[in-house]
Amino acid sequence: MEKEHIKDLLVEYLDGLLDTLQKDQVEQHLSECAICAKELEGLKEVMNAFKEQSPEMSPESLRENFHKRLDEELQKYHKVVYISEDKKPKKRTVWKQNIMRIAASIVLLVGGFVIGKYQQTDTTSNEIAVLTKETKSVKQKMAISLIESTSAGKRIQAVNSINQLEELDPDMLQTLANSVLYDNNVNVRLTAVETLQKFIKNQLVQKSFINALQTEKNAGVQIAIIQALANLNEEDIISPMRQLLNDSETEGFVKDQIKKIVPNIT
Amino acid sequence: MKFIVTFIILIGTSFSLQAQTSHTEPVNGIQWIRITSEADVVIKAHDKNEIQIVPERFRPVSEDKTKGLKRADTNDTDNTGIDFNVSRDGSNLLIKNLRASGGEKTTIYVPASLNIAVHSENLCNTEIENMEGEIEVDSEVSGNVTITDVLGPVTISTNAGNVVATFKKINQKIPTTISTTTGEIEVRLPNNASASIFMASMMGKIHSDFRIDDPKNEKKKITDQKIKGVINNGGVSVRLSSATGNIQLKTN
Repeated sequence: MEKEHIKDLLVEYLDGLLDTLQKDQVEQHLSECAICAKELEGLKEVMNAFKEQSPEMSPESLRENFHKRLDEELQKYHKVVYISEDKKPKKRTVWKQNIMRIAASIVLLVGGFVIGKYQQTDTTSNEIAVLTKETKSVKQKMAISLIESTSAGKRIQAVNSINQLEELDPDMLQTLANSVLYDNNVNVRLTAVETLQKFIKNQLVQKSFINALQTEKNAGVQIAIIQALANLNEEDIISPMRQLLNDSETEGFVKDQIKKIVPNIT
Repeated sequence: MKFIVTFIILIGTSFSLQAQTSHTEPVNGIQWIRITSEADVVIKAHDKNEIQIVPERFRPVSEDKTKGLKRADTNDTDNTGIDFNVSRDGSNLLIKNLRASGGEKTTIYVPASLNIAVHSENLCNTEIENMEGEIEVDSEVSGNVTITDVLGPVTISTNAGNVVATFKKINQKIPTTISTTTGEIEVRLPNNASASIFMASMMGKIHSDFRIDDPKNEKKKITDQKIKGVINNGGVSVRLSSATGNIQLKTN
């Protein structure tokens, strides 16, 4: 009976709600009763965990606001675990008798709250990720539809907007590579080369640049491609460069540029 | 009686001759005028909702040895009586000048709001004035391109041809891009025009009287043959580049 009584007082003791006499009695008991001391430690942990979430929560306000807060939390975080209505302590006597059940509820609530919050954060970050992905794909779709525009200005605008994306997936690289290879406007090809040259380490980009060098007739675009290929291994680029060098239609200054980049070429 | 008949025939002939001095075409549903030419073309804005093609000198019918014939290389027929082929393709009005390179200059009057694309071959010089829509010129060989009092955007590429482009204002939505291989580029913008500028010439010199700011400190990252910066706090992309030609960006 004595032990029951002490356990009943532990929550209030922890919150400093006992008068001096009761407090002294509880402390006296705790110093002698290992079971109650252990109980206190457990309760402390739960209370502290809960206080971290709701710093101003006291047992009184906890009792009064338990469901209200729970509802609020449920509204805020849809996935918090639901605690059934029959666990609601209706009277103080019931509260006293069921202190461990309440403590268990707190554990459940804290656990649920933490899990819920974790899930929520996770869901939110997933949602953000999905949203970012959607925004990106909308951007990409816009860019791709723009790049099919009959207006060269709009196609350049599309290439510029792709240029602002931080990362380019293979589809976008391919789209730009197609612009380098097949767009009938010199300025679109030129802008696409300049955007793609940042990704020159990418195999697809290298391949399309080397292909473009074999088909490109405009000297300005040729020079842009030659300069973009300049940092690659000589053995990868020497063959298309030599082909261009030996082409009688190639402009003198383009040939000069090739010799500058691959000095040993013949 | 004989006199009257002769008179009527004469009047009829003169009418038919007059009808062949120009060609008019409605532009309902048209967004782009796409012109292919080897002989000089001038495109000017007018208030009518039609286009009018006016060769500088019309050829009398008696001198027209190609009547009823097709251009053997392109299969284009003269369907206007003034050595032009005009056809529609969706919202595009396609105008092909069938006159040979170095032939008479032709003026084409167009509603100001329409978009213009010119593909000029051989020696064809292109002049465009007062147009308010998009302008594209692709000069394949050595034709010069002169664009006056336009609003942009402008997309021009030439090989040996020089480019002079004067803007009344500069469209802030769509970039303006001009590139040449050996031709010079001279662009004039209003003093208060906002733009993000990129100018590059491998061998040519670049000059400007604009204050080109470098907020991202990018200028140092590239050589003196490439200039990157903003004028009047930046705006639409204006990109001028040449392999060997000089570039000038000037205030109006």
